[in-house]
Amino acid sequence: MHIPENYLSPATCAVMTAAMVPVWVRAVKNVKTELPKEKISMIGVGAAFSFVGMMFNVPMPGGTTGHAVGGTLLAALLGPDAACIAVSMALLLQALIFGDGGILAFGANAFNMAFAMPYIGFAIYSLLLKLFKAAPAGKEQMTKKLVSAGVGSYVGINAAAFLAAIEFGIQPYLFKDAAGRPMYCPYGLNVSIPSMMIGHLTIFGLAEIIFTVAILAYVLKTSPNLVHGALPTHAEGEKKKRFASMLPLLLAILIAFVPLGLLAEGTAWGEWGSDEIAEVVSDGETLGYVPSGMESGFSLEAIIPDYAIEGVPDIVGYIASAIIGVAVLVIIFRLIGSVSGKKKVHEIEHSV
Amino acid sequence: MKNAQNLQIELSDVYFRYEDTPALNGISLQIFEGETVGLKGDNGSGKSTLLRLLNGLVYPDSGKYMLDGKEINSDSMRDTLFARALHTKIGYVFQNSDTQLFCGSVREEVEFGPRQMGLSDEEVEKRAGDVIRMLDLEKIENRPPYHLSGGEKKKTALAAVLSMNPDILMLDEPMNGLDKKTVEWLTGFMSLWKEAGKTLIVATHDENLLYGIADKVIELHEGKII
Amino acid sequence: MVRNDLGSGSIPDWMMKKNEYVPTKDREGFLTKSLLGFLRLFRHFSMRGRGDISVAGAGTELVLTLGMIIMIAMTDSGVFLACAGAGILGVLSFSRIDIMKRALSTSLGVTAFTFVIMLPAFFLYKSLGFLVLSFKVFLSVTALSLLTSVIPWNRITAALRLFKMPNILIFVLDMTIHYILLLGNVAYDMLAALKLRSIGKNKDKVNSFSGILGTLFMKSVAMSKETEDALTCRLFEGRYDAAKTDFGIKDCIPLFTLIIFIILYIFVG
Repeated sequence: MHIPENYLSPATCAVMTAAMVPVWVRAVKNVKTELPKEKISMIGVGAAFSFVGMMFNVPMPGGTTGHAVGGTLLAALLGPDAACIAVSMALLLQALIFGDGGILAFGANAFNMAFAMPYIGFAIYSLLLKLFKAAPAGKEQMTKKLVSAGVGSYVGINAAAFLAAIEFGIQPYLFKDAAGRPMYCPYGLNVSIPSMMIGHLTIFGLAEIIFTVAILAYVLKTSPNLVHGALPTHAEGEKKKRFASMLPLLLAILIAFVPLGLLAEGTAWGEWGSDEIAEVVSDGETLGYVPSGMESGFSLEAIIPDYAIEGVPDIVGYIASAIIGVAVLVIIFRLIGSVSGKKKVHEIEHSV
Repeated sequence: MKNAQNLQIELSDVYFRYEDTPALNGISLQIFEGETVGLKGDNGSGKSTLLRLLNGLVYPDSGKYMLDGKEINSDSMRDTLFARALHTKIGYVFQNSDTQLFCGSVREEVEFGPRQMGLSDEEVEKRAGDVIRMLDLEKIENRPPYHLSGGEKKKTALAAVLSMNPDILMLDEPMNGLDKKTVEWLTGFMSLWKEAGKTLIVATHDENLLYGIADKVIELHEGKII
Repeated sequence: MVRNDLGSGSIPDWMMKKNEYVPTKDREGFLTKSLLGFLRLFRHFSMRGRGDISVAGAGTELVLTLGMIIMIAMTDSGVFLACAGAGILGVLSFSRIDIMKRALSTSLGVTAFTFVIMLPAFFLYKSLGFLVLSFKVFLSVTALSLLTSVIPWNRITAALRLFKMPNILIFVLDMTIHYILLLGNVAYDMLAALKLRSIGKNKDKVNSFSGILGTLFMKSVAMSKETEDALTCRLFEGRYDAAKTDFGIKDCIPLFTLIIFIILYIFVG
């Protein structure tokens, strides 16, 4: 789910980040007006909780484990705006600390997991609460809440996965190098959507449900008054407001995607519009396209020459390669040296 | 002790409850300027709640809390300037330093209060520098709070409060989890504070801490003074 | 040492006997994996605790790293990639060994993942473009990882001001890191305690899991309430003006490096 560096083009990343800016501004503003200043500490701690929660492996049936994002859970606990900020912070830190998700792709990841997931998950959650006519208290009410949150989280994570799949899938149509090969994610929508969705409709969706329901159940049992939107009336008003404000945003983003094609080099947009799509749609066997000049198979020369453009002294490339070679050797020798002379590696283990 | 006659804090028959659980049951007390007061009692006796109330973080359900002749309640505290004056006047060092530290470095932490007071940059830096030197924190001033030991965290929390130059210092279980060296240092600091003629309120379950320094000891049990 | 005030006074029979429990096999993957994850987190932060190793300014190093990542993403020039690789690997080869290990463990993991994901594209396009992509991933993640290993966190967050990130968000970010470590330690202790007790079958894994994360949430709420009080006591009203960051001569080195690479990019990229 966390989109790594270089899978998306910088242009896509820029668009996704730009799309997130109004969302963040709005979320911060709402958190400030809806909830007074004390929420600064709550968001800080909420983001930390989100980060730590994402680190947990969720126990799954059969002894397997999976990770959850918890966007819907946080929305149910803190409200969707606070959840949006908390998950964004957690994603930024994950990118910086663990390399989970690219730093350029941060905007895209935030769009999927900090915007789509908590807001959609929360909308479903509050819609179901309303349908079930859940009252604030009572044991039966708890089941209703858990079911609503479970469904919300499942839809939420799948919506996020679907968006990620679209972001991946449009890359090969839009961004190609001089030789016509995709520069970023090489898989089109026909591959990206099924491969993302199969995993999320099954195992990751389940992990998300377990994560959400298990924790929400615990909190509802021990201190129900901590749950945001525990009152359906409150949630209902909010939900309407959110849907109304989300629609134009989504539209704006879709519109923003269109000129992206113009940014792409060459005739990518045209190709994609005519024969390519036809190929993809009409012929299930053929995946993608074979760029001209590449039909005769590949050779090493086919990769390198395009990367060394004429007019640049080859010497630069040679020197750079030489430095890489030496650096790699130094790294390997130093690593070997440190393993054989294993000493103070453990002193840092748990000293925080 | 030159100002011992000025009544600073007065509680009369104060009650306070958290949701359903009563925390303070009819507390009346008087604290004079420059006094050193010990608050004694077991865990859960209401010491921390009393400190929170004195800091204007919660208000009496009934009864009166007067500070320097002005009543502290939700009405008077709605006046931001009044609330700011109160929080500047009282320095409160929490039992748990972890939740009291929230900035990126020790220096930022110490500068936070004065900056919020609206002092000039030079003044802020001077104060922070002085306090950091006084508490011997120079070596760690650029470290983030999470890389500090328990003692260093406590000192940083104290420094962050002292840089606001409070008249009254309140310490909640100050010695909890501190090493011997920091305990000795803090005991010495408390005497200095007393000599400076400023009010000190120390909540603790450890009587030894209060020997020789407390002008009076108030013992709490189940939210009552005994 | 033995005290006689043990409840009813006598030790039950079974406790007098030798423990003859034979553990049965169980899959505690979720515990072990989570515990390892937290150890990685602590190691990351404890490494940084040893002070500022970086020679250059945090702000310009952040600019350099991001600039490199963007150019690496956009280029289709082999020469540029080779030069970027030479630069990044060159710095890496001179790094302290623990920093090198950490940076490589992160970037090689991500790269291996990319390699596996992208391998099928070879059959799709009959091109080795997936290798280029993997190399790009390797370079970007290594560069970022080096940055976050070399510069203390509080200086990275402070440097975000250069990107016009509001002070208040940086303030929250600092607070978040503080709480991640606090909550991480609490979570680690609870997981470790559960692991020590889970010597046999733990049928209700989900229950223990929800207990730990639920408790963690309650603890976070309590902590956030206390911090809220602390903020009030120090006059916080939603505004935060931090000290200005100085710009020194040492900030020039990363900027100079960046300019060289930008020129290179313009010519070959």
